[in-house]
Amino acid sequence: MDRRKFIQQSAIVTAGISYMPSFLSAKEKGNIVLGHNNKRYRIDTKWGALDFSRYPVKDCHEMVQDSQGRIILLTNETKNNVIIYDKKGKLLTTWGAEYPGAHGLTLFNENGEEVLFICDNNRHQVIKTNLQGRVLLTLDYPKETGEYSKAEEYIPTETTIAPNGDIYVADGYGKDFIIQYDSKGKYIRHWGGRGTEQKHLKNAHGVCYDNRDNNNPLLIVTSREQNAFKRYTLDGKYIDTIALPGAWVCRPVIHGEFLYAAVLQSQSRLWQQSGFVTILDKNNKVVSNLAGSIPTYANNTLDEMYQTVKAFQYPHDVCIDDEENLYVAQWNSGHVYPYKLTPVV
Amino acid sequence: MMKNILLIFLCGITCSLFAQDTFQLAPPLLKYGSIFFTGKTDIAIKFAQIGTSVHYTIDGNEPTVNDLIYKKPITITNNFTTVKAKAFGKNFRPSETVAVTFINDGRPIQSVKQTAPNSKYPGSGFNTLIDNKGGIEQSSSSTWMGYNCDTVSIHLNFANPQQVNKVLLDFLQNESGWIFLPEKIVVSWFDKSRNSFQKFGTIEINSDAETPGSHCVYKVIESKAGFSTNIIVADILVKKNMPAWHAAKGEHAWMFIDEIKVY
Repeated sequence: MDRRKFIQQSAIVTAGISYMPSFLSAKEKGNIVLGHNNKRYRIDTKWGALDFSRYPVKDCHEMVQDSQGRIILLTNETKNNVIIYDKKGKLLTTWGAEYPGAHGLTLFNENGEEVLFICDNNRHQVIKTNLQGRVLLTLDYPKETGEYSKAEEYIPTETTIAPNGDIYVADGYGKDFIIQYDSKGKYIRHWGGRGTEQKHLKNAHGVCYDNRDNNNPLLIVTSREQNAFKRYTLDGKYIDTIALPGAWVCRPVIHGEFLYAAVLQSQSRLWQQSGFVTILDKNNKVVSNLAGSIPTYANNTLDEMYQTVKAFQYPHDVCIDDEENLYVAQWNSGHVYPYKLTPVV
Repeated sequence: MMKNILLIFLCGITCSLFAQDTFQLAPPLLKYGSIFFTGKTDIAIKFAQIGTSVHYTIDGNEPTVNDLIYKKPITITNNFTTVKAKAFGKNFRPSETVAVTFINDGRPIQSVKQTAPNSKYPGSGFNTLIDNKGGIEQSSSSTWMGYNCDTVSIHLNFANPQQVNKVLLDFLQNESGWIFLPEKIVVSWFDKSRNSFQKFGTIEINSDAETPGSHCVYKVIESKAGFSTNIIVADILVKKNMPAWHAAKGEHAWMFIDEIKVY
């Protein structure tokens, strides 16, 4: 077996073993303030805790909030792929048993009806559902690109939906292409992929539609192993790179003027539960790291970032609710339920 | 019944203990170009967390709050100096200790030849093992030559005969990543008068117990008498079967090496 592939797989196996420590750390008191500048938070590690025997989780991959204020969690546990909480952490409902590789979760308001896009690593598909879990559309591996000979080469990790309904899929564990479809699922174009140029990607783990500048909406794509975000026009022309030295950033999440992202781990301590959360302002400058180093720039260049407090293990996604609270879902962190962080004003 | 009450009581104590628990600090980052140096080297420590300080020692002792607070880069001149650093802060549990040993140059080596490494981990050219670069804990660093064959031979040539008492080899140990210390290292020296190789020394390494994390580990093969020679050969036996506790038990392990020195 390949050494790298093996490491990924054995990391998943050890998830079960490390269950105890994270259970214990769930008792942590909320007297610690995490973060910097005007983005500082208190943490509640018990927020999402449920009865594991009834509502188990494996990896907690991604979270979104719907217009009713509910927090929707996606896990690759097929007993309940989707777990829906209220903002207080009360379980409202669960659904989903057919997403063994549930990874990416994106919410889109489609002419008044909210829909979800689920990326499934194992099924090599993107599935569109309504909020009750009814399947509305399934996108198979993108043969039309001419880049793929079989489904297994395509391991989608994330989607983002433009206001016109165009679907952008990031093949972050496959060939690192971004594939653009129209709202019906008809292939339009693709770009990215691996290579040595700036426009290329390595571990294109996330993608998001950034409309913070109304006159100039664009796409931000994660290039996780390069510790960077890359910006593209909506038709895939490379614009520039936002370097995030030391940070294995997951998907970018835009909320208000800020960009939030879970950092799976620090480059300086790989595969040692060295994750944190990073927050960028409207100019894409890091202003706060939750459980990470103070962000500092020298001559406009960001210093290496790293975990400083072991508050998280492997954060995989953040969700910011309508009251500016922040939720953190974690991968391979001992079946831990999501944490909630409340702003310190 | 009594048993149950006792259990509940014990559980209560345990829970209340953990309720007072706080987060642990992550270990500080030791920053250096290489653990190998000539004459002197500077080591920086990074830990940008408000309300904490990093304490360090260079005498091998475990750092405490009574030890030096890190403020500016530490200059090292002595061979085999170990820098140990630990972060402390109110409201946090202290970090784990990070420790790195810095190694001064040895006898001048004119050239090195070694078994070709696996093409995935080729190092950085023919001088990789004598370039004074290394001690980086990440297997992706180009300072490492990686092997998954059974035996690796390294031949060192000196321009003039050198008195050799010690041979040092620096390895990577990252067992969850399949990288183990070798099983055995056999060092020989070339005896010109007899026109043959003679035994210098041997060490065996036991990796039966698990070592978590990723570390650089140097091994020294010593000969008290020492020998004057212009050729030294190190034969390294790579671990063939990973131990029973490993998730890939029985598979062939890897051996990563970045430097060889003689003293």
